[in-house]
Amino acid sequence: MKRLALVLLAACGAGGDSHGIQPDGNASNDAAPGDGAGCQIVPVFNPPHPVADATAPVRAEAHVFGNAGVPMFTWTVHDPTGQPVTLTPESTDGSMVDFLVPVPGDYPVVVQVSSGTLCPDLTTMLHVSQPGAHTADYRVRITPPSGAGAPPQDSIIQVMGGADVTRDLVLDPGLAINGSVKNGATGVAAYLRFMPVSSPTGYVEVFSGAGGGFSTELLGQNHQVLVVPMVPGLAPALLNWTVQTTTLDVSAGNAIAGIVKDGSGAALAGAQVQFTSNGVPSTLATTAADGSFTVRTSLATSATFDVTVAPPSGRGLPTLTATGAFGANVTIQYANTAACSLANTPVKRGATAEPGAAVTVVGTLASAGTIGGAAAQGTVRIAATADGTGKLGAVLVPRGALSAVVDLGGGDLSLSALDTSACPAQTINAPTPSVVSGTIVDGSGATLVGGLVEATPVGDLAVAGVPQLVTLSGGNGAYSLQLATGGHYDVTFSDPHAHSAPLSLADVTAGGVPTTALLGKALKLSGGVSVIGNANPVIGASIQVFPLTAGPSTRPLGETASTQTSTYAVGIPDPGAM
Amino acid sequence: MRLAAVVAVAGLVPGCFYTEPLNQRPSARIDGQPSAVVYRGDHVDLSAESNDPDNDPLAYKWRAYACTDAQLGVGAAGGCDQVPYLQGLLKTFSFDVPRLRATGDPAQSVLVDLEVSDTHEATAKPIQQLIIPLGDRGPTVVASKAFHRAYVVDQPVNIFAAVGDPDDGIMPPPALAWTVFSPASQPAFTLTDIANVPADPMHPELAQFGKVLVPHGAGSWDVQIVATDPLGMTAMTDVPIDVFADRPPCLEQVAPIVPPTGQTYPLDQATQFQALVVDDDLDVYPASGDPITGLTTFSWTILPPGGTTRVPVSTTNHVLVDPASYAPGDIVEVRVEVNDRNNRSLAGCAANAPTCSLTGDACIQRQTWRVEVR
Repeated sequence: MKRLALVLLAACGAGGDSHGIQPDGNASNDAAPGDGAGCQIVPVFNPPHPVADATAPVRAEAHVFGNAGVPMFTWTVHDPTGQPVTLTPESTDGSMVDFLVPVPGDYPVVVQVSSGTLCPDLTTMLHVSQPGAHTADYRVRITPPSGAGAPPQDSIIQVMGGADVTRDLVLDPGLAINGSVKNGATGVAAYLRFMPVSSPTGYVEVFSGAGGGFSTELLGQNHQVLVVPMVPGLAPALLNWTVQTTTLDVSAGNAIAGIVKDGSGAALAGAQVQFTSNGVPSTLATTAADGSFTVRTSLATSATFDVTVAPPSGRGLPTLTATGAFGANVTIQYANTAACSLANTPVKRGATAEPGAAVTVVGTLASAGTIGGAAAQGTVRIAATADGTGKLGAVLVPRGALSAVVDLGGGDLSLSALDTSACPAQTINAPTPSVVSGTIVDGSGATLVGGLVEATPVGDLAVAGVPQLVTLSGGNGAYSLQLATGGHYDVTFSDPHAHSAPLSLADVTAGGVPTTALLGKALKLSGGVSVIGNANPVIGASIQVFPLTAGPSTRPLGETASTQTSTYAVGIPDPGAM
Repeated sequence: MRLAAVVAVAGLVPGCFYTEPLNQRPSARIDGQPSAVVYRGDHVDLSAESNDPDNDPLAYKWRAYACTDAQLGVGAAGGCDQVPYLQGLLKTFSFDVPRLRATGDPAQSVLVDLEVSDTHEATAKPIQQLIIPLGDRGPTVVASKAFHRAYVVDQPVNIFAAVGDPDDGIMPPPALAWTVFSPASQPAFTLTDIANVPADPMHPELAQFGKVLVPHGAGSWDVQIVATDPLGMTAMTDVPIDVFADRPPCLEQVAPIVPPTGQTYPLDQATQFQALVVDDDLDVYPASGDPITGLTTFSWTILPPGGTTRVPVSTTNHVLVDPASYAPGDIVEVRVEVNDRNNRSLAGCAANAPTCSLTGDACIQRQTWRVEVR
């Protein structure tokens, strides 16, 4: 039980309540029926996973354990709109009733028993699916406020399409953890990322203090911990953590030394070098005047590393990256290609010079040097600014088929090719941005006022650091976006109130943005939020619903915060039905 | 008449004198007079207690009149209606007390006449009368205000009143008087009608009304609602509203973790920097279900490596920061500032302050992450 990151008392399409619902759709208590824990009512539904049907009844039967005397039963069932459902008794004592479930959704069912023993009423939720409903799995991340008595935690829920869903979120209180990070006997200030083995993306972060001590709350399960010391000379490490762990030991680790040389073979000073393996970085090293560097890693030097070398500015060099097992001594060599100067390169829109234009030269070079003898890819990101005549200064860039991202201010961005392979005299053209206009239509077919449009640059624009574009649809659902012509974006249309499902488009240009953005249907996921063994309400907990494969860079499909009454409701995409 | 005829006949018939027994009038009284106060709409059961010395069959004639003051009698100004609203011919007489007189005025008493006669048309004297004074059940009024996270200066507050009257009904409903008591500083306000407030289907006996109060000042407000029925009976309730000046929004939860002073957050993967929860009395994040509550506004900026000017990067609750856009070892500052519809200035906080609290407490409107690209 402790190993559960989140107890979702209504798994696999069945609704939840304080008694819990098993995947077969039937309620149960934690204690086994009839084990002497007192009077208990256990309902059984047939079929256990009913589908909305106006003619075929669902049979509900109540079993009572631990009572004395002859029990008599009273049932109350409401439909998803709150209207009482007509019940047909099927047994003389009332233990068995039939009722119709013509519409999909959650049907609250209450069973009361009168007998010689006081028997608590049973309240449960019967989820009725839409005929042919599709299912979808979502990852729900709950981040309680500090003091709520539970750590952040993830869980997977399965939702059937076509009907709103009730799920109570019952949080594992986890464990209050006190520990320390040490190098030998010395405490170490460090960044700690505790990643549960069962859901690594649902991690908990904490910093240890100067003395190495830290406190946090964690689920009582095994974790991997990324420890990044904040003091020089100590290697970041990925450590195992169990509930018995009190000290996280870090050390200087193993040294990987090397030298960085420019294209002429001369030492390159001031370059930043880092090795990373399986998400564990080394220390950062800056090359000395003789081009030498030493990084420290907690891994064996024989491991396979991603190596990144960022050149000093002003040399017209790309950032080199390569992956391999390079050993403890690595020579990094830039390709022997002279840089190209952009001096006097005009920046124009059409025939008009653009003084003050901010230009970022970006691109990828397949072979820009070697790392440990292996070919290294080059990534170019070099900024320049046009002078008062609209011409660039003597900024060096690598030679190759590159691109120029031109920012004329006020959101006027452009992307154009810049081939410096032969370093010819050329003009950087800043094409007019593309204006995309359209209408957002919500899941019910109505135009959406206040719909959110987010265009996140990808590719060259992202490398150039172009910020995300955001706009809201107007009174008639109309939106307008000004995008860099030829630029690529991830575009998302969404309803800030989550009454419709977002429409996400990956890696599109202006031509790929729909003029009519149709949002999907949403269904309401709602319920209570509580912490096991804690009667206090959970107020202001962040609740985010992600696709199953979401990582730390993924935006949620829907998000909300728990209310003053410890409840929540969030719109999520409706998986629909056949 | 009958006696004269008998005497006349007797004088003409010598040696034989027969007289028909004299018919005597019956006596009667009304039984079942209510001992408790009777209200309009109540049900009354009366019966005639009668006797005829001759044992003749008796006939009953009941008449009930709706009156203002029954003492003034039928047809009199301020008395009873000219025409009874109900008549009966049985020994018992049951009726529901009318709400209104024929004039449309509320009935305040009922006059019941009982006339009992025998088969010889002798009538009990005097005609029995019963005056039932009617009580007046006062109106009822219950009021509530729309629930909001807080009641803020210049923000509308919907106030609803459910009014009923057990004896007068709601067609028409009791008159409502709304009085606003403002705080001592007497700030201005507006109070306007909400048209066509629907009735509660569960309580069709109640009429619903609503008004929108827009208080233009902070303090303890009170809206007094008085319901008055046609006879002047009143019921009163009041709705207290504590109105506060708008307060700045508070960043309640952010992600990722904010490094302690002097430390940096190691950015080793593309990461969504997010304001997860913002609390405010007006504009929150994420959206709430309250229709008058709006959304927080966000301003994300990045101070690039070596830069001196912050670059705006997002106006949503999040910004994606990708180490691929920087070089290892770069130091980047990621900052979010939040605001509500009143668009407060954070100029009072130093530009290089990592956080900013306009209220000088734990409620912050700015958060800065110092990030080291790894």
